[in-house]
Amino acid sequence: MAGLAFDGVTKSFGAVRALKGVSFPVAEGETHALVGENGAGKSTLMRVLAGIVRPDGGQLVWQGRKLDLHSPRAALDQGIGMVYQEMLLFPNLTVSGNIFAGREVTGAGGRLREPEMRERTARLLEELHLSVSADAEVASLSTAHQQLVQIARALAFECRILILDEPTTCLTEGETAHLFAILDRLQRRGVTLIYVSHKLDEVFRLCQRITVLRDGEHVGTFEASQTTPRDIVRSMVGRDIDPAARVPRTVPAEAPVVLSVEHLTRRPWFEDVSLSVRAGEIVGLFGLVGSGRSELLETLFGLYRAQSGAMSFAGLPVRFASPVQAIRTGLALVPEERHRQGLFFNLSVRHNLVLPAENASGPWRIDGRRERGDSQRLVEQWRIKTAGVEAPPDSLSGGNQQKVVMAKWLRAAPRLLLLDEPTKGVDVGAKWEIHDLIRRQADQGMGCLVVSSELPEILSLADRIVVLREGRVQGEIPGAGADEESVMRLATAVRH
Amino acid sequence: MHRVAARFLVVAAAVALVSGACGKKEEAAAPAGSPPAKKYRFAVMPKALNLPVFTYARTGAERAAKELGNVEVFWRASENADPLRQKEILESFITQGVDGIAISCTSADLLNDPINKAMDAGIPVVTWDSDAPRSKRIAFWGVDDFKSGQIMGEEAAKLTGGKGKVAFMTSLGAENLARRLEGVKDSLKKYPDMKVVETYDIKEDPTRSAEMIASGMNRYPDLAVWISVGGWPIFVRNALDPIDPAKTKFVCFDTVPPAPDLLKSGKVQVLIGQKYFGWGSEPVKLLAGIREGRMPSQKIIDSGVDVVTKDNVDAYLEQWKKWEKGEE
Amino acid sequence: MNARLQSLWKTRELSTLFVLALEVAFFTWYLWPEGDRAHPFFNLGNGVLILKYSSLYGIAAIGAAMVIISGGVDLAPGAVMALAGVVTGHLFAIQGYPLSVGVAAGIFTGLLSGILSAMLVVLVNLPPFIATLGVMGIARGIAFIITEGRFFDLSSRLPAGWKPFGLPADWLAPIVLVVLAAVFQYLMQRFQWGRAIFAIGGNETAALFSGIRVGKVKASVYIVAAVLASLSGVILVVIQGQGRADLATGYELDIIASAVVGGASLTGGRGSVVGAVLGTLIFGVLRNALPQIPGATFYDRLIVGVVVVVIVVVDQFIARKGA
Repeated sequence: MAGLAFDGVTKSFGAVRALKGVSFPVAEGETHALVGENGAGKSTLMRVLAGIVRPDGGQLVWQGRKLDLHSPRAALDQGIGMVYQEMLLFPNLTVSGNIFAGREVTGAGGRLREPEMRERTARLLEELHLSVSADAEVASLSTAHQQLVQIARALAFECRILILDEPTTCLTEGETAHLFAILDRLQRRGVTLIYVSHKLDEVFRLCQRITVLRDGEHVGTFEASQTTPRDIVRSMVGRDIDPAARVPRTVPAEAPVVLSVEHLTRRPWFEDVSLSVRAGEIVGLFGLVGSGRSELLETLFGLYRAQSGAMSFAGLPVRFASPVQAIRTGLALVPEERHRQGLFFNLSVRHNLVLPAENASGPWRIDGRRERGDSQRLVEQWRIKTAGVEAPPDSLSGGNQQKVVMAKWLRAAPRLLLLDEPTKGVDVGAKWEIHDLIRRQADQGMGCLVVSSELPEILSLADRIVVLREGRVQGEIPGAGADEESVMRLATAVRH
Repeated sequence: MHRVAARFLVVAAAVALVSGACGKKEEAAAPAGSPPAKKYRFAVMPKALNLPVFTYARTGAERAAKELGNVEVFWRASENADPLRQKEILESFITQGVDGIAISCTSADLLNDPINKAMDAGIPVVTWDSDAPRSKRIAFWGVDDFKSGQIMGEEAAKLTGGKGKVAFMTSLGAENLARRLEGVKDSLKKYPDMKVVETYDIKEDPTRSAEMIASGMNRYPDLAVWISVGGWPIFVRNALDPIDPAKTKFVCFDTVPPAPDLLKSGKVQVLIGQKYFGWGSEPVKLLAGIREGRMPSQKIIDSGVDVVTKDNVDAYLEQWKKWEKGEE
Repeated sequence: MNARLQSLWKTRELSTLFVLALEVAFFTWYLWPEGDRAHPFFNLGNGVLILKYSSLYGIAAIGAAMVIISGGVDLAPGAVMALAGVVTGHLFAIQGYPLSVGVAAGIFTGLLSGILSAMLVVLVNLPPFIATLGVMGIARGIAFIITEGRFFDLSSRLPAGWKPFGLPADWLAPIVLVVLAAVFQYLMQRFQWGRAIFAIGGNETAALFSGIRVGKVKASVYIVAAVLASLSGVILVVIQGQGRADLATGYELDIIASAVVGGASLTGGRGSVVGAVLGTLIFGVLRNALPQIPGATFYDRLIVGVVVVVIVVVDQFIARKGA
């Protein structure tokens, strides 16, 4: 029997049952998607395939024979390559060094054969149309190039099965297209691809079949041509929600202006930016990578000083010298990279939830009981799935981590909420919940400025869309009635 | 922005280093533009920088240099008594071509080699406080350790009436201390009723003296007298607390402050003082003399000791003040 | 900044050599003698002296650099040097065994210390700082027990004018240093084992997932470092002819500083063996030249500290300006 088969794979981590007897087939040479909410078991299953995790029960079969995957090395030797979601590169080695790490071409005694490795690397890079030098230090490459080097690494050796885990999270549209071209070529070569992703549009574009996991169980394997995104979401989540639906909202006409920005400039990131947000309004800020969106938000929040221009909050001119001032005035920022910028991984969920409010205005002493009560309430209110408030944040899924970050800021009841890519790396179910939460906050009178590079998200959330391109405002259109094309036209400044 | 900051930092660091170095340049005579008369550069090396007795030697050495007018003193040692480090520093003074070396040896035989090398290279070497008798050094200036040990033994016998238990405190390894101990034992031979119960070795670590005294008093509560051939207990706070002066006497080497206070308070009965300032001034004068052709008349120059008790402590302190000011 | 210059600076060997040359030039100028006196610093005898004493740090710094590159840190070298020296001295001078036996035993204790460190780091999974701190205490403690705090003297048992392997005694350490530095530099740059060390230091998780035998490689690095330290301790004791349990106290910090000045990053993945050796020379020059500045008796430590900070800060700015 050709192809790969998962047969009754079971795995538990302590009390948590991550995989409960998962079985499904993957045809040889097909591109097969694996989808599911965070915590559904996708990563664990792929780690079993890549030899990183040993299953408690079940087996994996390839072309009729049982696979022996007792270590990452064993999996690699059998032609199973994996491109990880997190960057598993060696920043201190060259591209060539990275591609061959652990499997170097050697002579006697382990002496490295550098010229041969460099040459093979150069050929591989050329094949992938990657304009990077084999001797470049990986730390100096852009995120997109690094991602492609990871892929090159997986492809450097004969690869029969390639697993891609959320490969486009950090890529722009152009880079994603480049990647897909490479994947198409691989498909033609007969490589079996397993594509793990939250982005259903990509899944439908690339894959022939889609397997859905939920809570460690196999829900179903579907032909892409015979199903719709909505069906898939329903299988994933167990509920029927339309992720792209736009909820009609009205902003009262007399709503006061909460934030007004005029001719704000901070070279080289953005120039002459003017916009406004009213109470209860959700303004979407869209722009491609390099448009200056994050830097704009950070400047508004007081992390950096603008070079010129003016900002006023609820009618009063302000100039924030630090985030503490911004917080005291009533702003909050949910940052783009929750790992680096939003969460304290050495503290518990409780501490993460209560930190900012105390920081800015709280009393000297820490009231433990009040803290625990407050954080418990927030966990319930936001439906954060966690093993208690004392748990460390890295035990939570991406979506729940994001909820912690948002909850902690909303506790301080800001009047203006700045959000930078609020649902990046978050699964569909949690994404919907977060959008819902944003709308509800807006309904209570909070002004929201949402930065996102996901067009569907902007279209479904925003009352007004401001488009940035290369640091300048290209235009503003009302949310209702906007469509992808009109927004993209402004973002890429294509004139028809 | 970063560019400017980087350049600024490099310049600032360079300026700081150079000005720091130049600051020290002011202290010493500036190399360029100095008077054409030749200045002798003498290396004066104590056993360690952390032993308080040697600070007076430094005062003496620097004063002598000022008096002579054509001498520059390089006061150098490792922070703790480290024979290997002292050897390293000595060797580097040889390769730097100093004009004379005056050294108190942490370990006699280890330094024979470098001392001989210095002598062979034409650099005169004299020792002080702690000698290296088997080397080619020209002279030694310091106490006659054996004799001073004998004096300590006699004083101890006087205090105890010639009988009782005796405990020694020393640091094994240094020749001068060993000789002192020999001297003590020699004079105690005359008093068969004085029994030595233990010899405590502080192993070159002055802070150990407190522990040793405490455990000593614990084990021998009826101890008649302590004899310490080095001044370590004086410099460790409260080291002498476990001792009841009515029952146990203390004879100690070294009279540098705060020793006289201990005499006055009664914790210590007899102190043997060395010529601390002389340690610095005499060898420097010797070296200057040698460079001008005047060799010392004898190899071993006995500096003599001061026996200080409660009776003459005030006079001694008066004399001390005179020494500090430079009056003999 | 000129990209070419930047990448040249990034070659740690070159940039450290540059700093060393600058240092030597500075002191040659600053200590220029007046009159017809010979130069106290810039002369052959002094150069040999600097080499001789720096080599003792340098041999151990080779191992320290490799440990740091692997993402760890080793606090034990000073103590291992002392223990190895004590064992050698004890067996040769006090028990009367032939010198070769003493030396072999000394190096063997280094091997044992290294194995202990390796087990604590790889099997027990202790942070290297704590593991090697423990080994440091144990080694130092055993050394004190063997010697009971006393000196031991080898020089009386060695023939006068002794030439180990036909070389003047003073040259033994520098020659061993040069040979070992060349060997390990070559291994690190051109062998799979060396490449694996860099990989583990750069991203240990990725190394694990790439099939690199992380545990074995890490263990080997700690063992090599300890053996090198023990070799240094044995040479120290044999050359100096005397020893004590508190030999090499505090050397580990100087050794780590040398490795860092030579380009090793404490976060792992970067560094150079030759750079570390040049780093020990930089400190060796300082230790030799500073005592020659009159009135600067107590400034040594301050200046060394300032120099370390300045070098590392300047390096950060220059090397990172491109990023």
